[in-house]
This record gives sequence, C-alpha cells and structure tokens, in this order.
Amino acid sequence: MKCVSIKNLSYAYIKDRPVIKDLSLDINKGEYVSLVGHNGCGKSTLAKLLVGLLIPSEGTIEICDLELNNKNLNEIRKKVAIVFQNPDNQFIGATVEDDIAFSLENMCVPREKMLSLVPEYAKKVGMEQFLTKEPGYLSGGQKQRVAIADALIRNPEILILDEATSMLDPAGKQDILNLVKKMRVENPNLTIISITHDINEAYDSDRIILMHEGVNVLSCTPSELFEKTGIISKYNLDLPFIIELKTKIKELGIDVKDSDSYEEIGEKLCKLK
Amino acid sequence: MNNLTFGRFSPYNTFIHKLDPRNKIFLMIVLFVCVFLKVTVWSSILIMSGVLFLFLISVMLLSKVSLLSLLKSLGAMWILFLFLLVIYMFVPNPAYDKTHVAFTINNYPVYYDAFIQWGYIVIRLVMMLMVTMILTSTTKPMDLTYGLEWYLTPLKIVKFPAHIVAMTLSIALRFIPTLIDETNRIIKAQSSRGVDFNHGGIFKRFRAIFALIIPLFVSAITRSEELSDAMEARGYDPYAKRSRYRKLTFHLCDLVALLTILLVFGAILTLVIYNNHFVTVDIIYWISGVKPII
Repeated sequence: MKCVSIKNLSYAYIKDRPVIKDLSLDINKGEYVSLVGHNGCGKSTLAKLLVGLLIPSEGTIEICDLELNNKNLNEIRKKVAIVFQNPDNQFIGATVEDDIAFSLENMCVPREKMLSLVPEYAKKVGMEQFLTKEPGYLSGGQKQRVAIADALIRNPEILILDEATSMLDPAGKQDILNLVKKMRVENPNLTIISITHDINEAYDSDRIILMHEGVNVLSCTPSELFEKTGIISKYNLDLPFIIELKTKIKELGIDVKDSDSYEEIGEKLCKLK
Repeated sequence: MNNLTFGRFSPYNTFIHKLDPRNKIFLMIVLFVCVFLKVTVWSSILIMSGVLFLFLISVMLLSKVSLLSLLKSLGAMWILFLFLLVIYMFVPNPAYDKTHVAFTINNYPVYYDAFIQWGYIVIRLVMMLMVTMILTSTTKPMDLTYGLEWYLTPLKIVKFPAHIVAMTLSIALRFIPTLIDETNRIIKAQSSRGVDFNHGGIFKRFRAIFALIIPLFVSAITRSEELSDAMEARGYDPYAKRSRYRKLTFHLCDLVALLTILLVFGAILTLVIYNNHFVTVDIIYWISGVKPII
C-alpha cells in the first residue's frame, strides 16, 4: 500500500534555480527508506516539503491518500513526524516532560491523558529518569531521544529522520539507531524515511534512494546498490564497512559470500589454518 | 560570562519553593509596596525598616538563599549607591532639616539629613533586591512565565495575546543557557583568530565586541528559523486552542504565606496611618550631638 506518493515535484528557493526537479517517488507503508546523496542534492528540502513547511512549486505530494495542500495541512501534520538534525534547536519545552508534551498540547489532548502518555513514551526511548531535567543537563543523543519520543507520541504514520544522527557522537548515534530498530519491531506499520550521510546507516534500510541534483537517480535495495560499482564510483559513495571488509577478505583468497554476517565471517576466519 | 549568579534559581525544596508562582508574584508586589510606603517620622521609619528587614532576612534563611550572593550583588551595585550619595549631598531636597550642617565644601553646606535620607533609600533598595532575589532563586523561570501568563489572561478580552507572549518568553528563557554556551564558543574561536577582548582602550574593545556580536546574531537567527520549523512541524499554531500540560495549584502553604505577608502589610499600613502618633525621636540629634534649635 502506498503511503507517500510524489508526482513530478519541483521546488526552487530562488526562481529558475530548482533544488528539486521533476521528482516522482512512491514509498510503501511500513517501509524503511534511506535517502542518500551529497550536500545540496535536495534531501532536506524534500523532507521539508513532505511535512508541509515548504509549498511545492510544481507537482503534487500525496500522503496516505491525502493531497498536501493548505486545507489538509493540519490533518497531514498529525500523520507525519519529523526529527531534525540539531538537537538543541528542536527542544522547545523547558524540561524533558514539557518538550514531550508539546505536540500533545498542540493537538488539544486533555491533561489527564498527557500525564499518563508522557512517562510512557519517555520510557520507550529510555529517558524516564530524566523527565524533570532541563536540556542543558542532557547530551545530544539524549535530546534526540526526547525529540523521537515527541515524534512517536503523536502516533504518526510516517517518521522522517532528517540527518537526526549527524551531530551526535558515536555512542549517541548508535543509541538512536538501536532505538529506530526497536521502533520498527514494535510498530511494523510505521514508515520511516531516513535522510543520511552515513552509508552504514543506510545499509540497514529496506530501500535506498539515491538523489543527485534534485533528481532521484536510483531506487533499490542496499545489496543491489553496492553491486553496482559503476554507480558507486560515479556518485562518489562510500562503501559500508561490511562490504569493504568482505572485498578485502576476498582479495586475500578467502571465500566469503555477500550474504554473510559479521559472525559468519568471523567463524570462517577462525577456521583458517 | 559565568558570573551571572544574581537570583539564579537554586533547586532546593523549601516551603518557599513550593509556593504557587502566581501567589509569589502577588506577594512580591505587596512587599514592594511595603518597602516603598512612605513614613516621615524617624521612629516609624526605624520600626518599619527594622521589622521588614528582619522579616526578609528570615524568609531568605527559610528559602536557603545565600546571604553571600546578596552581598556579592550589593558589591556590584556600589557605583549606584555612590552616585545616589553624590546626588543626595549636592542636590538638597527643600524638605531637608537645614539646621544641622555636617560640613561645608567651599561654603557649600552638606546637611546631616542628606546622609540619613541616603541611608533610608539605600536600605529600601537593598530590601527590594532581597525580595527580587527570593522570588527568582526560589521560582523556576518557566514557572514565573506561567504565573505571568495567568495575570495577563484577563487581557484576552482586549485581544491581547497572553499565551503568545508567554510562549515567546519561555522560549527566550529556554535559550539563554544555549546562547551563553554559543557566546563562550565564539569568544574562544575569535580569540584564536587574534581578536583581543580583554586589552586595549574602550574604542578598541568596542570594536572587538563586534567580532562577537555579529556571529552571535547570525547563529541566533539560524537557530530561530530551525526552531520555528520544528514548532510548525509539531503542529504549533499560535492562534489555535491548545491544552496545557502544566497546571498551577493553590495549596494550603500558599494560604499561609499569603496571610503572613498580609499581616506584615497590615502592620506597616497601620504604622503609616498613625505615623505621627508614635513617640518622635530626633535621630539627627543622636548622630550630630547638636541640639536642634526650636
């Protein structure tokens, strides 16, 4: 079932210099899609268009069979949640609990319901001990977890992660990625659109969409993409660590399959004489 | 940048901390009125200031506000006090007691009364400072905003957007620590590029400040753009109806505090009304030892 359907979308910040050119794209319900591409290729602009922060110059966006326009905007914002890049600039409440409650307040949820929902979702992201803490006492990863809690509490159909891990330290990053994995298990109907520079992160997704200068060049599964060495060198992509590892091992004349996991490779290496 | 100690919230859990912010704002105003009620007879002034001073000191002890930080902020105000002293000395009020001259400078008389009046205004300013300090160090800034919003709510009748003002204020408060961090970072970054913030004359330092202010503004504007995107994406509409997560409640301890302060207020009001009925003491006679000419 289609969840997001983009048809002939164009957008230009400055006239005649479009950032997104005639882009068409479908995303299915429950899919985990990674958008990759270099700076300025229009990934973040696409994310802003999807939540209705920008109005398309041309083309249409349909989210859950609703066309994105001024009339449906409030309806659509209830279905789409976004987590931005900078943890500080999306922390609106004074404390963790206020921030998690912010979207509920906007949706006019009664106070009694908020009092039970806020701790529940704080627990989901592992922030239950920090409810009364102010953002100054939190690390970047913790702030992003709060942002995710706020996104999830609205029970969205689509979650957009707009480089949500790019300003975090490795530990915070791993934290968020584990959280995303946990979310997919708990709620298989949630569509996740992850915009990322980290090719290892994209490797975990169902589908990778490669964007270049406002057009989607390619849309395929991660393993398919990394077989196409021509495309990888043309768009200057990095290889995920596991693929690089396998190529290096193959060069040594050891037999590893493309489908092998780290454990299987480890076993094969241990069996060597 | 780290010496912004005055009235910073200190996270204790005292009786005063637990009070409703709306109540605290009201009581602060009552105490301001108490401090600035005017009595003219010296005995009344002494009684009134003494009672209030002791009361405020005990509230400060109760709310665990450190007296040291009060002294520190007084230390920062010495220029104001000095300036006031000069004004009081050289611009005599027609109401001064002109019979007692302390000394003369080039035949310009300086009266004892100038010093006494100065002392009176200083003690009142100190008391005002104490009240403000008690309020700000026992109330979270955000709670103050909620309290303020409650007072502004009746203005909705004349279409005053109280909730928008409160939201703006709370976001401003929320971003103060973030912007202080940013300032420190920019100071370090610019210092490493050779900008000298600590030496040179006023003009040179003023120019150095520009190297701090401009990047700070640029970053603040970028931040605000991202913040407004985040707020909008989360469905914030300033004109739509919203529910509230925070709720302010008036407890029994609020009633106790309210009654106590109204009692103090009543006592002082009595003192003001029966100003002249108390025994009058000639304070200037005490200090100068010169008998007034009657």
